[in-house]
Amino acid sequence: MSDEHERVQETLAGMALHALDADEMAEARALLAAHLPTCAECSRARDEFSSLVAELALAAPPRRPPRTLGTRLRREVRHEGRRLRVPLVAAAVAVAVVAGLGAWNAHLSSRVSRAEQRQAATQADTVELINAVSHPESRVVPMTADGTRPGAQVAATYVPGRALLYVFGSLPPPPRGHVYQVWVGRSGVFSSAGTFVPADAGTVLVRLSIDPSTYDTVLVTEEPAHGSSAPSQSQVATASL
Amino acid sequence: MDRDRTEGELDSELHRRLSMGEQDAFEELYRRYAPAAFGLAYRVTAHELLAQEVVHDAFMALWKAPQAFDPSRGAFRSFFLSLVHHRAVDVVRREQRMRQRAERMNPEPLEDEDVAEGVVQEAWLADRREEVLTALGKLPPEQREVLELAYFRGYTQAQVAEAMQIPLGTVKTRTLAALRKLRAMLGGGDA
Repeated sequence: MSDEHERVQETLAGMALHALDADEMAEARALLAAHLPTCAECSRARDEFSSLVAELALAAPPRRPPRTLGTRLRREVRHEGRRLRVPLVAAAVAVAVVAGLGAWNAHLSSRVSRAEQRQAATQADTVELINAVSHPESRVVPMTADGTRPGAQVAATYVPGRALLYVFGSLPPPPRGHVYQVWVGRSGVFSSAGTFVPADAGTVLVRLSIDPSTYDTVLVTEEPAHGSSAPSQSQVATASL
Repeated sequence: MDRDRTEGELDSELHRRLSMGEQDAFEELYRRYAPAAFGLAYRVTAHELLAQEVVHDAFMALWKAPQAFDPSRGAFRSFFLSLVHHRAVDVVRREQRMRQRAERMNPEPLEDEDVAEGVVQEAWLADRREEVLTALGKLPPEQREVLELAYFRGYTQAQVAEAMQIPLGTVKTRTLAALRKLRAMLGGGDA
């Protein structure tokens, strides 16, 4: 096996164990985005390691949970209902995205270092998104679409204190020769976070390794194929953070 | 494995019903997986209250967004226990101080056990647990220790290297070797 495969599979093993720190994760995502789409062997190893590591959970001695935990859960399920913490529009987007995660589909430009491309989701990827969306402290912010794109529905979500922001939802394909570009801004000054095109189904999931607390706005625009150095007037969706 | 497959099909059916909002299905999944989930969360956090929060949040995440599980991409058990582990590791890394305090204490037996839940763990899970323990026992000690620190104590690989006083590259090599051996002994892992 080549050094490259070995390095990728070492990374996959660390990811499966949830044993990479934030910096290592960023490096790992870049490595895997470049390697996995063309390597069936490592893609298979990713799925196998993910399932295998989940089995390690069984090695922990099972314990009866306290009675209060079951009581609390039953009460919340009965009275709180489903997804009440999430605004209705954002919840619809979240469900659509989660259901469509067969392809982790943000197709981000590789030249933009802070954005990461994911071609195919593992269950661990799904877990990561659902952790963010359903975290008790998560903020889900519906983004206001410009109204000219049928089916456009986008939201941003993050957990305060974590340097991670997701932009997700659905968008129609951009016109030929164009891409969507994500920007984060503070006091009217915007910097690019990456370009993307939606997957075939129109589903969008952009994962940004940024600290949301340092910005006040997230913006999606339509730009020429290679992206722009500043946002154009063709705004697609925006939200205040 | 046939029983594993049958149990996996039952999980999928319970998940389908849960997705329709059936609280009975939620109740049944809680009965089936709460002991394993709480055992895992407790092992990783070494703290009863934190473990409760982990399991609570995992089950509520399942209830609120059941579509997060895609049956075509693996077993429900793998998905849910991975969710629990991920949350437990997050908690450990946020609560390092609390964990260090807890590690100095011997965990006390739980006094408020949910006796109404019946057996602690169902036989089919207990059998699989024996297989996993046997496989772990066959690993070389240095590989087993790497998994112990990374998976069950929530260490990053860099922290494992520091704790074991070995290079980070050695941690990665041992981790990969351990998973390959486990894969050979246990298969891919999915029911």
